[in-house]
Amino acid sequence: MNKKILVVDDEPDLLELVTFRLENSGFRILYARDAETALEILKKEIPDLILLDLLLPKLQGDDLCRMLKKDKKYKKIPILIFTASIVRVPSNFASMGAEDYILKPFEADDLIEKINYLTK
Amino acid sequence: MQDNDSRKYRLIFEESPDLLIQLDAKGTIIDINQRISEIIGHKPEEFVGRSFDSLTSFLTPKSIELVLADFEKKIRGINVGIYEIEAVNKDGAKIFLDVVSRTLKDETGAFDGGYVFLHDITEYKALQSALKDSENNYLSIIESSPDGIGIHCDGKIIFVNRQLVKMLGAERPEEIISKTVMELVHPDSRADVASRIKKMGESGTALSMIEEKFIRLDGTAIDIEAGASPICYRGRPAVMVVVHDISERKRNEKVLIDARAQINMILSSMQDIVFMFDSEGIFRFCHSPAGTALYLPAQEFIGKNYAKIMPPHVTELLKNALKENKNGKTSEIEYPLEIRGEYFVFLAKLSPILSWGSYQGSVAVVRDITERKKHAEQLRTERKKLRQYINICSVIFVVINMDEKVSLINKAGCEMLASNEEDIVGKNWFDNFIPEAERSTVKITFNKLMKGQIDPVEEFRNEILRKNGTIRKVLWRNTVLRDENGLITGTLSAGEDITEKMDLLDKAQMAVQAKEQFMATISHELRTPLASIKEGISAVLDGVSGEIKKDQRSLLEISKRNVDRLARLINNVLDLQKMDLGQMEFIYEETDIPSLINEVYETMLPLARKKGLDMTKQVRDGLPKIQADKDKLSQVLANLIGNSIHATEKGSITISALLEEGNIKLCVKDTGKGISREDLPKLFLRFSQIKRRFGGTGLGLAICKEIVDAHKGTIWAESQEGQGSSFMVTLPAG
Repeated sequence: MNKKILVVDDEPDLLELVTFRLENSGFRILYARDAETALEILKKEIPDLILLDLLLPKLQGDDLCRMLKKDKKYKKIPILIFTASIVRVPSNFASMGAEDYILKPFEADDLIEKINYLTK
Repeated sequence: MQDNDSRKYRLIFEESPDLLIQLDAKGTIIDINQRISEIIGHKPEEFVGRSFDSLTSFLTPKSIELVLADFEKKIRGINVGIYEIEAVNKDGAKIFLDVVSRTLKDETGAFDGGYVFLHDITEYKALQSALKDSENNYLSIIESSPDGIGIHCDGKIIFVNRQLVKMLGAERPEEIISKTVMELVHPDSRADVASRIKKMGESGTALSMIEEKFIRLDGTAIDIEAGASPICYRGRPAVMVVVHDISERKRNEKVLIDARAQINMILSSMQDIVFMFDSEGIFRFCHSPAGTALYLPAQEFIGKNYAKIMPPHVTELLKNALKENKNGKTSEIEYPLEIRGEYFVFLAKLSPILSWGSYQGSVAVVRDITERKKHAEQLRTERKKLRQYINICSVIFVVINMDEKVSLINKAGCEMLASNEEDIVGKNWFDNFIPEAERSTVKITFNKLMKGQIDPVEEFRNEILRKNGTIRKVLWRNTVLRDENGLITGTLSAGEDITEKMDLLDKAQMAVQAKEQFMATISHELRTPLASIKEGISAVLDGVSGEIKKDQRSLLEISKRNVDRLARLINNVLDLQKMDLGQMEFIYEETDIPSLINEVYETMLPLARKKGLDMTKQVRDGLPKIQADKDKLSQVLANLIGNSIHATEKGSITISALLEEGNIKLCVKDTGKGISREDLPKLFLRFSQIKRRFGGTGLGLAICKEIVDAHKGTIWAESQEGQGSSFMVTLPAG
């Protein structure tokens, strides 16, 4: 059974590329371009991991992260912060309750390795 | 015989010096002697045969009555002595007569007439009266004398006047009279007095006044001056002593002596020169303490008029000053004087000497104020300098008195307040120059400071309200001012107008924040598309979208390498910025250098092998653990090794670590192309990469230096072109 990854990123190009890469690596991808959509999806499906960008249009990634980690229903879903913001991560990811982070631009191998590790 | 007796009787009767009148038993005048014509001026025949009552022509009725009453008493056997009656002579002058009467008896013992003897005592009475008047006059003179007068006789006091009674502390003469002279003389003077009395007894002449001491009744001594003269008092030889009370004079003399001693003492301790002038302006006295400069030797002033000896400019001043004195006013003059080639300044205070309100002369107390003048001049110069200094310096100076009013402000202060000095000095500082919002707080602080309840804050920043309503920001340094008794009088504040500086600082801070924000944004905004580019290229290169040809691969690999480089560059720029702002966080922990080297070595090894390079480690045993940020130190080492791999085409890379002079020394040595002499000093500068020999960012070594510096270590390179390079890092151990 393929693992389900919810990718939350407002950058359509990158979203497409990541989806392409991960699907090729055998993951099932759900995606959302903002936190609100992500929450809608989460009501219907529980993914095995959330790959979460921080800078989102309305509700920010870190706020979403904190929200989910407080919610009994979602708190067990591992969250991998996926950001270009070197300022906000790495020192802050743990305080958001996230499991790990990966900086953009990224090495595809590192990404897949981290996902595999967190969804073991 | 009978005739003979008769004749004798007649002779005695007629020649008697007294006026004799013979009466018979009926009171008829039988006979009167011739004395009546001498005393009264009447002839005896005028009265013979007439009754005694008829003598009214010369006797007063009262006298007649007295004589007849006397007779009657005698007849009745009552004795009556001599008594006095008054009569008038023929010229009408009053005469006084002493009366003695004798009665006669017949053979049967019956009254048979008698004689009346009248003795003229008029002259005697007159003499007696004159004597009495004289004695009274004499006594009244003695009594009213301001001197004490006493008379002693045979060594005993027999008379004292009122003044002497008073002098001796008695109330009545009886307290003194009958005392011996020596009882009144003080023991100190007794020998003197005794010898004087003796001398006077021998010579019979008066003794001049000499000073002696008497004893008052209460036993206290009294200074007197006494003179004595021998006199005859009531017929006896006596001594009259005139006593003059000199105790007051003695006291005055003593006071005078004391005063003189005091004056001398004062003069000797005075540093001032003292002159006395008489009313004519002639020097009468000169006192000059040792070491004072005197225009002439002291004795040369005496007896000379100031106008004759003092130089004209002083004479002129003295003239006016003495004139003031004559009007009862004191005066003060200051004058320069050249004395033996030296320049002096004197201050003279002149006061009039008055006696009963009339001007007798002047006293001048003259002080050498040359030094004082010099000091005052120096002080003035210093003050002027200080004033100039505080006026030209850009620091604001304000002195605020205890009453909150400004007592001094310098030019910079006026400029800062955009006001004139006269509009500031004397005004309440707080009410006028502190914005309302801060006023009460600042005032409370100031008043606490004035009461000594708090110490001044070294630096105090507040806002100042200008006349035009604008605000300046001022940084103050405050000092509490105290008077000579240590009591707080106000504050001296030195202020710096930091309005512009603060604005700049605010701007700079904003700029830093903006830059930070900008960098964060730009890095994010650059990295996001980079991520897409990189992932797109990577996906193709990884064959995710199918097989690619060899040359396609090599082209895409170039692209990917440069995307990575760009990503590193962005990271490095952000790192350096963080370091510059002190925002880079260092987490120091106990670090084992050999294991750190090992980790980095393992990480870098694949890269070295890929280029066919040897990589070895030479780590000494027993290196101490040090406090370091593991991740950052790893970053340094990886950077150095990475550089060496890039710079070396063939050969080896050696990583070594040893302890040298208390430092851990790390070395990364390669056999690469080396670094030119001129490039060596620029290695650790930002973007200093001279030749882009490999895909560096030009910031790696600059970051390494920042990290090593943060660890208080050093980093340097040794190299020769073509012969490889060595990069050394030392870190303090312990």
